[in-house]
Amino acid sequence: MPNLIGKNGRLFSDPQPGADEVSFKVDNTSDSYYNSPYYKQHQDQVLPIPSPRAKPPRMNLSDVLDDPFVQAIQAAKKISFHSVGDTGAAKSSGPATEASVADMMSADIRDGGSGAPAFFFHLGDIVYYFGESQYYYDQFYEPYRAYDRPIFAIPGNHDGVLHDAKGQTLQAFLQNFCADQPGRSPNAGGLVRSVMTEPGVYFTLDAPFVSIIGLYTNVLEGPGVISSQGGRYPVSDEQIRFLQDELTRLKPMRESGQCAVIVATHHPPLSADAKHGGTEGLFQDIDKACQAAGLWPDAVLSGHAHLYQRFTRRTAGHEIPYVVSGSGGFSATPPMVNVPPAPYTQGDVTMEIDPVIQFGYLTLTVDVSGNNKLLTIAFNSPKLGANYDRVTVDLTKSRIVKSGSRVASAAKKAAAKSASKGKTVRPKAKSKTARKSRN
Amino acid sequence: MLREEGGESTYAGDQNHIIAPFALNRKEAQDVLCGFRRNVDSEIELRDTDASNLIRLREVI
Repeated sequence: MPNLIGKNGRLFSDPQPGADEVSFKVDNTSDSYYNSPYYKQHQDQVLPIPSPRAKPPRMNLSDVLDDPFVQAIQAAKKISFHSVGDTGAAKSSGPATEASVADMMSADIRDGGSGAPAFFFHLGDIVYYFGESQYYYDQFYEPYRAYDRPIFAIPGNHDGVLHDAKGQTLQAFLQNFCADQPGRSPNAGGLVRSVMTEPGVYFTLDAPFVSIIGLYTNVLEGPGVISSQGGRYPVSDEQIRFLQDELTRLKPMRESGQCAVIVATHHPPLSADAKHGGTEGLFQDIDKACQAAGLWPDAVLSGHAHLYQRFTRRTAGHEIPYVVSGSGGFSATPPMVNVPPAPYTQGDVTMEIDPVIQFGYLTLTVDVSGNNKLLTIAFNSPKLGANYDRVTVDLTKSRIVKSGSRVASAAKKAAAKSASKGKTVRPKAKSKTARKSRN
Repeated sequence: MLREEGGESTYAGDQNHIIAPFALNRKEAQDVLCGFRRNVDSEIELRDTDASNLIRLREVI
């Protein structure tokens, strides 16, 4: 099958993608900058948010993909797309883990036929450790050389943070993802993929049946920041106004069942990761915008924490999955040691499954073809297989109608089998071995 | 691992600094210590309203 050609001659993959690279083309020495005097002095400071090129910063999938492609999605009344963060690989062990995820995603496109995912929405941390242009080849263009679909992205902290005063925040990200026009990237090393033309580092992507509001959570290792939080951080409040305005705009379309609404951030509002925790200020900022607009998102997606986590938030009559998938290939991290086994509820939040410390990615599907309009989020992993965990939201009722992981369902089946024999079995997911592995 | 520290309150209005009542039951204490909305650098302060009982807990990773 010939490679896709998008609007204005956009190209998305290399016509002859070679084998996975086993070592970096450019040696990655960027972790040495953590010792730079500039970084040490500024590591706790947020940086200015580049102004969007267009206001409001909004783009449509049909700006990028050709009309027949988009019309086919509309006719099917169903769209799928990929999402994951933290795909960059800066360590010598990196190419293999990053490639395992990228190759499985590329295979979904190659083998998925007409129902294959239409695009990839990246949750940030594309290039470690300081978003340098010279590492875009090894950490982005090479791994995704066979991914024949557009890739949109919000930046993560590593894409924006600076190690010296000469740099300009997000410089390489802007060049590769927020270009004025599609064309070749000087960082692609000859591989074929047109630069993306997002209107800004925070923006809405309107696609058939789904709108994704992507926010930029700035450069701190933690917490994520999208506003001044009443003067606490020296950044503009423009982004929080944008979020509220976009939710207000989308409200009539969401309420009439035309689309699902998803909020995407790099830093997670909720997380049980030992190194990359949740973010109270970000959580509250999103809540305030939702309350003011009178619209809650159907899901919140995040990266940053290098594992897979799924929470359900029950608020204002809605059941909202908060999914963390910073599992794109960089350095898996464990959860906090004192988190009880799932399901575990704190206030209006339930951690639905024990965090999964494996690399993998999300496939999201919005299906409005039947009476029930459904959003399904599935976690796929090279080691655990496709659909390892999934959750389905009935968009009409804003309720979760189906969820479960393969581990949980195996445990449930074993328990049922055992109960029929009059025995008691401890669920596999909470076995001694599983608990021990987390400590 | 949580490190327990005594002494004066260090509360400075920072969102990383969580104050919780001293007399928490087990479930409440667990919720504070593994707060899903908590940045991992958080300092958790358990104290009575008059600060006569005070323990500061800091997660050490």
